Amino acid sequence: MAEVTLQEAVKKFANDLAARVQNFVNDVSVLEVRTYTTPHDQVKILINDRPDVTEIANEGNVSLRAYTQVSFDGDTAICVPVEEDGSVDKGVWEIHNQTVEQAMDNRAKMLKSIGEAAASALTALQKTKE
Amino acid sequence: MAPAQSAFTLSGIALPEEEDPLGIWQLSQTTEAVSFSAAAETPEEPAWRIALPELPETAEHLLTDHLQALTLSEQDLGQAQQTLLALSTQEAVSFSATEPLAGPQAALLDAVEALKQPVSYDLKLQEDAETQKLYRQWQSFIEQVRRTLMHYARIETTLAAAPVGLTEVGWTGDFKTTWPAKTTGFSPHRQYHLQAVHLALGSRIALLRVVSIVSTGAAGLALKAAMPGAQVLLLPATWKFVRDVLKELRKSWPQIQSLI
Repeated sequence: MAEVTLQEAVKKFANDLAARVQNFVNDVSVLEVRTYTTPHDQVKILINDRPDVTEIANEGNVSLRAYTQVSFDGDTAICVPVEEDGSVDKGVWEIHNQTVEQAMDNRAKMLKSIGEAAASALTALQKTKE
Repeated sequence: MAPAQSAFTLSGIALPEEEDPLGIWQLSQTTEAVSFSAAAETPEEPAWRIALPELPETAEHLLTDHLQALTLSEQDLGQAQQTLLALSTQEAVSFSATEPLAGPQAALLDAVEALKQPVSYDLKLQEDAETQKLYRQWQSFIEQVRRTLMHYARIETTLAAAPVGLTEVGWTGDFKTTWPAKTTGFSPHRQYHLQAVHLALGSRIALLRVVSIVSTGAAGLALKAAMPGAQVLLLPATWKFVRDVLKELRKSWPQIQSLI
């Protein structure tokens, strides 16, 4: 019957989101942002073949140029990219910092949105049972 | 029309009627639009691809317009939410037939009234092909939105078919971004990709917000129907309402419509 099927679908959605929220709370303690550079032809391979970036970075085809780890308590670990002469690669560093801001903003919005969606679906299900 | 070289494509998920409810992305189940190889496989994870033309002014214009479309979609979602709230809280609802949202409002109120009838709504559902279709659409929509959250989000930007940037965002929000090494110092191309990432992730959040608005709206309207379980039965009609409202309000974006 359509009602039961739909209810099951809503329940699955709500339960999955609720689990996501729970996992989010557990995993949200650290946010990691990695910035890589690679030869032009390697970008094409990345797009076409979809290898794991971390794996091919280990193989040397992609270079990890900057890394930021932000902990929930505010502790931050940063790896800054430098040129051969030891000076900071400002181009990579600037774009990496912009990405970090974007990542933090996205995480905050996603957590809020997932929480709202799960709550609305669970509320609908609870009212059904009342 | 958008320049032939450009495309804002979402693949790896299948939204109802192969249509983005936000009106921003073209849906694609294959990578053909912007792939570099004929042998490219269908992605397992949702992928947002932004193919920009070479001319900088045109590329910037396209990105700006699509970002504006996202902002307007978010505003329109807010209007749909407010309208649903008004419909569920007001005893008697009156609106002019000439109002742009009159049609969707009337259809939704008809669905609420139908629940009040003594005839079994289950029987009505089995007889009503349109309602059954909406049920399937809503189920499919929430499944696909769920899917966008269970996988990595991939955002690929190309300019005149050359890769500009690739970002993978894990479900906890971790970012991995890869840039072609030749680009040094400040580059507008890099800004294009950052804007593309903003557009893609904002669209994903907006789709999730559709689920919240529809679920909350159906629960509010169920009070009007005063029937146990009505909020689940009203989900498809509320989904149709939100989708139709977004479509209707998009008609007031002529300058952006011309690009999509």
